[in-house]
Amino acid sequence: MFNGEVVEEIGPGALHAATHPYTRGLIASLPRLDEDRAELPVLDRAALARFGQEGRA
Amino acid sequence: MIQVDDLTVRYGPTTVLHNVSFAVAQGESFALVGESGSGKSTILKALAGQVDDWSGQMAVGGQRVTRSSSRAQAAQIQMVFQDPYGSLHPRRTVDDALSEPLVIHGLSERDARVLAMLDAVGLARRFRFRLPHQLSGGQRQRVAIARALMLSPKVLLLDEPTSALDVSVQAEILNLLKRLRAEQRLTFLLVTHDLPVVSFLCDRLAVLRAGRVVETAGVATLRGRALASDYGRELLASCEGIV
Repeated sequence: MFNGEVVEEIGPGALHAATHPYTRGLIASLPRLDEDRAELPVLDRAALARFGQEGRA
Repeated sequence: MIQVDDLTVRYGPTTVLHNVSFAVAQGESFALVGESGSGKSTILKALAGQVDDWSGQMAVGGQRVTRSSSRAQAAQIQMVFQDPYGSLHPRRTVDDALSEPLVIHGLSERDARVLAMLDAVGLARRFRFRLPHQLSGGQRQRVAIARALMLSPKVLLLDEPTSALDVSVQAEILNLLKRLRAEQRLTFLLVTHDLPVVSFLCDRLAVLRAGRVVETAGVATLRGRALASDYGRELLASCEGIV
């Protein structure tokens, strides 16, 4: 859910196939067991807000 | 920086830690992993002087932890909890929370120190006089981290610091902790059940089960899914295939 709306509905086994930028952003921000990363990506909330407006327009 | 030797802790008739030993070097980040009830949080409490019935030896920064630790010792080691809502006073502002340690320890230039710390933890200065309920979960955890750092401690004890946050806010707080550790040359002792978090934030880990350390390993071993103990392998299996 994002901004009070269901933006995507997928099964727990299909997270890699998510298409909505919010879902993809959440998945990207998870740390990975086998990767040594300097920094984790975080959600760009401004970009998501723009996407939300365009999506409804 | 942290030395724990042969630590045994009892709660009444129950022994919750059995002869636990490990050492954490200065600037190192060390994780204690294991499921609920494995005793990992009890180790943090013992180091913070919050456990009465214990035996063995513990030292932080070369100073032995005793049953009556001094104020100067207490300032060296600070704790951050899972739920910042529970650790922040509901009717005290962010400014109160950050100023209090300075008042207790008689430190001056409080305004400048509070503002500098808000900047350091990425909290806008306009939040300075807000109450905890006026903040998001991530903002509250930034306040808890800021408060822990007000006395420039050498060691942070982190008890599941991001497990109550959604994954995007967790990423922000993990990035913050990693940056602060490098900037302030902090030593971390992190309690968690989340192995990917250990992979991101830590150099080494100890696996605990039923109050005993069953394995100590470097983070490369964790990333290679090569933990040797049965229980370590069970924990690895339980985090397969999440994404």
